[in-house]
Amino acid sequence: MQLGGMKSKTLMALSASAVALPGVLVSTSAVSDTPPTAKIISYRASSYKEDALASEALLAGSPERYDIEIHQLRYSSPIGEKYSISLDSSYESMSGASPWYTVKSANGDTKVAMSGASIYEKRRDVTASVKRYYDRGNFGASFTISDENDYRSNSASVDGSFTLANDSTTLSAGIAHSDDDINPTDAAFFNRILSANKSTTSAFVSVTQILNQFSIIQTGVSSTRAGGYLTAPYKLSDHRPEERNQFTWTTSWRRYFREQRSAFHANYRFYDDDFGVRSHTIDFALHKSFSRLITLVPNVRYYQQQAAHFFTPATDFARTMEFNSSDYRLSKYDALSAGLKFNIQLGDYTLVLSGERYRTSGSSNPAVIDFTRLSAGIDYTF
Amino acid sequence: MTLPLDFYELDFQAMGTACSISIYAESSDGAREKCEPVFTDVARLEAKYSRYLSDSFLSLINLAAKQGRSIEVDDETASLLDYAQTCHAESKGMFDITSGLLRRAWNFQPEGQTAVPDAASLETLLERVGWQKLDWHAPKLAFTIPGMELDFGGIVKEYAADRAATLLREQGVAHALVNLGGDICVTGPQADDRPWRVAISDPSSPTQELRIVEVSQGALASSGSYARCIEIEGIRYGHLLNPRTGFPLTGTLAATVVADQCIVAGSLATIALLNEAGAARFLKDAGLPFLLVSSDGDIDDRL
Amino acid sequence: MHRNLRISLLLSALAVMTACQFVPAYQRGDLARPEMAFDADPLGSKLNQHIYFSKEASTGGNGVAAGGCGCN
Repeated sequence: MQLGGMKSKTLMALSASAVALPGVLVSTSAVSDTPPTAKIISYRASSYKEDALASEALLAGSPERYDIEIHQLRYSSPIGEKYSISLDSSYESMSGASPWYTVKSANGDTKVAMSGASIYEKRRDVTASVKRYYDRGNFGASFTISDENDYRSNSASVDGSFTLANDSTTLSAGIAHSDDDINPTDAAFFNRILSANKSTTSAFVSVTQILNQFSIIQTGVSSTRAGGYLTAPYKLSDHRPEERNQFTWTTSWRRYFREQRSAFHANYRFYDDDFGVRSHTIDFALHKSFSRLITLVPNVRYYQQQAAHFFTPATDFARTMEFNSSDYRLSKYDALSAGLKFNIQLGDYTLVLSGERYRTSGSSNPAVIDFTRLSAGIDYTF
Repeated sequence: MTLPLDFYELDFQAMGTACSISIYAESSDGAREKCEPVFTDVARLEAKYSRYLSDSFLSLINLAAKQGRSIEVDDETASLLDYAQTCHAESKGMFDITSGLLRRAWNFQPEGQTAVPDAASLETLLERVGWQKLDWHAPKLAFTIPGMELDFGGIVKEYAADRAATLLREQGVAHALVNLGGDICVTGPQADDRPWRVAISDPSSPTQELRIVEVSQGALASSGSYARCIEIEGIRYGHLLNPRTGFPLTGTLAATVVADQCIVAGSLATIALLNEAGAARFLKDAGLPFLLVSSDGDIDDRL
Repeated sequence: MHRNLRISLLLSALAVMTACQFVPAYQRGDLARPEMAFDADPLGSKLNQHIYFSKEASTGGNGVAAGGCGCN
């Protein structure tokens, strides 16, 4: 929910400083939906590194997992009084080996064979979005293209929001569709599918409610249907159904604490699909302001998933099951991650530094990953 | 079922000027009861930040300033110092709460002095003026050179008006107008949803009305010479001084701005005057309604 | 799937109906703070969603889906 629009940087600076004074409030004007007031350019560079596979779990190949460098650039701007646009692009370069198949060794342990050569791949994506603002709501559309040497995805979505006459409840809904073309590399050599297609449609509805002057809650459900080639082409003997129905229910809460100058975030997501994967995700973050220029955000996330019903820890070469996968991502496991983000405002620029450490446990497939991510970036508001 | 509301106007004296609260309430006692917290808060702010009271917190700050020491301030003062800092930044250093010292070189009376002060005396004063010469890191305010002086006069009255409106709103008052010597903040329109009608007076003859402005929400504040201006060799100057030269400003005599907060309206009006000939462009960029009176009598009315 | 949907909707409605006070516009200053937004860091969320999509079996729950990649 946006409050009244302001036009100039000077006015924005004075107003922000004014409402920080005890007993001085934001305007009496009615709540109306307006575009954001400033143009922002943001850049982030991130480094994602997975821990190497434990040597006792390695059957063959390189234990070095993915090492990914990501660059993101975003431009967002109001257009006149009623529109806003944003353009996002990202560039990823990836190297490292990934699990190819698993076998059960003599003593009952599962061992992982990694793809031999360390792959080197690049992926690019671009998203363009536009939003139209009305008195009580907004309506938006978005297009994304993602491109890498073996995968191309085109998607589009529309969404809208409407605030009820009570000025406290907002309803939102949206639909999205994605069409992907898969052309695995070295397909003929490795007896992989030459070319395939995957199509995904999803929809969501959500309700946002202001609880009191410090607290706001949002809850929503989404439903997704994916159809086509859903199998992992680079994993041996991986065969998945041609349809997957997914459901989520997410609730988010934001609460501001004035004495502590902190905003507390809590999110919970329930996920369920017909592959048998059911999961719970819960995360917390605390945005704490030290002085007006520095913010520290510690955060923690807990994730737990069930295994897909066709998952087996050891690859099923004999094709005893109609559908089968030994992909660690479909196993039962849980993951805990903790991170810290640091923001410092220097005039029109904000410097952002963050890190996250993610660790998994409890999986029957030792290839489940642990990773570390570091990001640095800058936002320029003008 | 709510009772019908009647109009009441309560006048009082504070911060060296005539003040009033126009309020729609159920009874005269009810009106007075709702206004009591405002009278108390305005008196509190006057006692805390008055230049003229030797036991005010401001006087304590200025004692530390005179001696070149440092002093720890409370949260409210810290926020005011941060606000003053923002004004300093947004006015390219022209809005400066340390520049009050320069008034010692001039004599702002209705009759006024006709002579320009000598360069040497201005120079000594200018050495002790400049926000950048302060070391402000909440909660500690340190004066690196002795003999400086802070003056919150340019922001406290508007701040008091904003707080007054909040105090009334928190008691459920939806139709009131607070007027502290021309700095106005409303809690909402008049009881029948009609706007309040505020008269802007002519800076050269304060009893004359220049314009009526309709205000339903937010605040209105003015900056400029109404009672205090000087005339030197036939040229009229206001009472705002350029913190870099020590001389009064020229070009624009008075500015009135409408904004969501009274303190913002007042600062923008003052910074506009500090921009001298560039006042109109500055206020147009800010995007808010305004009225400017230039020293040659021209009126730029964009209310 | 349908039973999940019904239970979720009921719980959502109950969550929403708990103690709500009407907050007038002039008291919404804290709610309007950038750190109180549901998506306070768009680039950060986009990256997180991409990483979790690649490494976990669950997706979505963040409004509209933004398209796929070969990473899952």
